[in-house]
Amino acid sequence: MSIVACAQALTVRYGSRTALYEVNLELHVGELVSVVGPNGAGKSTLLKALAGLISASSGRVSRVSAEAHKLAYLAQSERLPGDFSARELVELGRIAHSGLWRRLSAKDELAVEGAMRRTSTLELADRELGSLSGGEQQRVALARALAQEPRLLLLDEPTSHLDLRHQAELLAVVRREAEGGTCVVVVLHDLSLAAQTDRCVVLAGGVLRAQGRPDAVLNAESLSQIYETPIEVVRTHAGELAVIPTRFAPTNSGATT
Amino acid sequence: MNAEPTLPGVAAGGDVPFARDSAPFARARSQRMRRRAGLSLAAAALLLAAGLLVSAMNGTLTISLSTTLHAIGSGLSGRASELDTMGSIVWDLRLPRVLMAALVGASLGGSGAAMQGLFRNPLADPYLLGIASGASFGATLALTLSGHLPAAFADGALDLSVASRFVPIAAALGAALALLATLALSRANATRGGTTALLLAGTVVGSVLTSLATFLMLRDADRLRAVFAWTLGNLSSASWANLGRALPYAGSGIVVLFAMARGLDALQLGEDTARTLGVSPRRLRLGVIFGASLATAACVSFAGIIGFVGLVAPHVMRRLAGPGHRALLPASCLAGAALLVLADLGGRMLVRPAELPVGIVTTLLGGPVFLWILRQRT
Repeated sequence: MSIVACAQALTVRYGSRTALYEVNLELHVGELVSVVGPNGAGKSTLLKALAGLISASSGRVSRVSAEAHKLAYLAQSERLPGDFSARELVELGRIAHSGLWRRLSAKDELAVEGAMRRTSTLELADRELGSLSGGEQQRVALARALAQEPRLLLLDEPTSHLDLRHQAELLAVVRREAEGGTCVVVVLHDLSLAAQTDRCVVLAGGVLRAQGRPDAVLNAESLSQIYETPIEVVRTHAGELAVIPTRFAPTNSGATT
Repeated sequence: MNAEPTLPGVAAGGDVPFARDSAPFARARSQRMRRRAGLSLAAAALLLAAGLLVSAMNGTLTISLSTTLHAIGSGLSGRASELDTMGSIVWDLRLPRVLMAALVGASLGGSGAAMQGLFRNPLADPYLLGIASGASFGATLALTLSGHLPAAFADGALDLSVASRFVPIAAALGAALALLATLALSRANATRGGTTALLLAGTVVGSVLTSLATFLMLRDADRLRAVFAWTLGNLSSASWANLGRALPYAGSGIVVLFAMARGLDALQLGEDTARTLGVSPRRLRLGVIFGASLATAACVSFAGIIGFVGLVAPHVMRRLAGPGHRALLPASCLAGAALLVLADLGGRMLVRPAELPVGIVTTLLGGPVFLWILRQRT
């Protein structure tokens, strides 16, 4: 599989705090990768470093194509301008292609419509973002990223404000993007959702603790240790993994968040 | 795999039955929105044209439409010297004044819209963020250092023709420094985009610079009335010559701001996302600071400190033309121009034969709008 981007011994420090420590990661064409880990594990930092938004303190991030429009990034709970219409927002994604001066071409229009169709936001096109529900806003924000037609799509907790159905739908949308050849990296809190991705990357304390197929990586013992709470991994009768926190029993230190 | 969820209306396998029908539908709607922006621009332009004409006809004396049009026609064809008294009132006194009002209003409206986009806050305004005060400080400092200050404030009104042409440049530098200071203070002070932090920063920067400028003006000049008129915003010093001096600054500032339009749109998604779209927030900030400083400097140098036009004009036009800056910036310029022309007319009509400084009129109009926006925000 050809590589879209990779991190080599990537270390990021914020002042004296080390947010990521010597992370090695390869991202491939057509892959749906989830990044999981407890709060403060360095998930968002990893995504920002891959996006080129923060620079490595040591080590490096390399992308096959350095062009801006090969990459789309959706920030964690991105603040949307409430008075833009959904369509206007999605059109902004095309700035990556058309630059700041050109008008939208027919190709741009097609990309915008395609992105809105794939996220089922066409019927919201004329609505102001401020009047949309959280789930609708999230879908429009995703459509903006898709309109960029990226080769690398980086999504930071895109499911955070979504109910179960919309979480599943969003995952289905990005799954389809991956099948189309895009490499999708998505930060998830819900480990059962992560179990449905091609590869799981587990971060804790800025260190990459494990990566691989979900059924290999998501095991009860190591997850319980990483999250510092008892976790069970079960298989549904459809054969899918489900990760469930069991009743919490505080350890002696009681140190969890 | 069969259990894979699908989106409503999206059949499995990627075939989308309704797409072919709905795409032209969406395009039609977006065209309707563009038409809305076009209509708003046309309406603002029409209002401005009407305002200019009415304002040229009215004042201490009311001059008929035909005399006004005749004077404008003669002036444009270079026969201004042949005009009678009424005609020359229109051409020599009123037209430069109403055009100066339009130029200053356009600069303030455009600067306000660009700064609201930059700060992602509808309360940003050259006056409220201390930038106008910065420009006035820069201009006063330049006048003081060059020894032109007493002459500039002679005769009860500001007359910049005595001063050299670097006054607007000094004003622009002062404006840029004030804007940088407000930006730095509001960023250091609180969570990003915090309205309170922004307004406090602007108030502090504005007050300090106004105090310094006032100190310089009062230090060796006892022309309190002229200084006062300048601080309150005043268009009575407008002349064709001053209009010619102001135009390069205001014009180039506005052009620079227009060039930032699409970048400002992208910035509404946040700096990180803007960067992944290939937009440099840093360059955008510099562009807006440069453009807004030039435009504001032209206003302050030739008309004093005029508040709230940069707040009200973009606020109204955002509702009419939409939030996209490619329409919003020119629309705010037109609306700002119309607003200031009409405010100046009001200032000349309300207490005639005397006149109110235009800054008083705009503040009386703009204050309530400010409070209303603030109330909506919180």
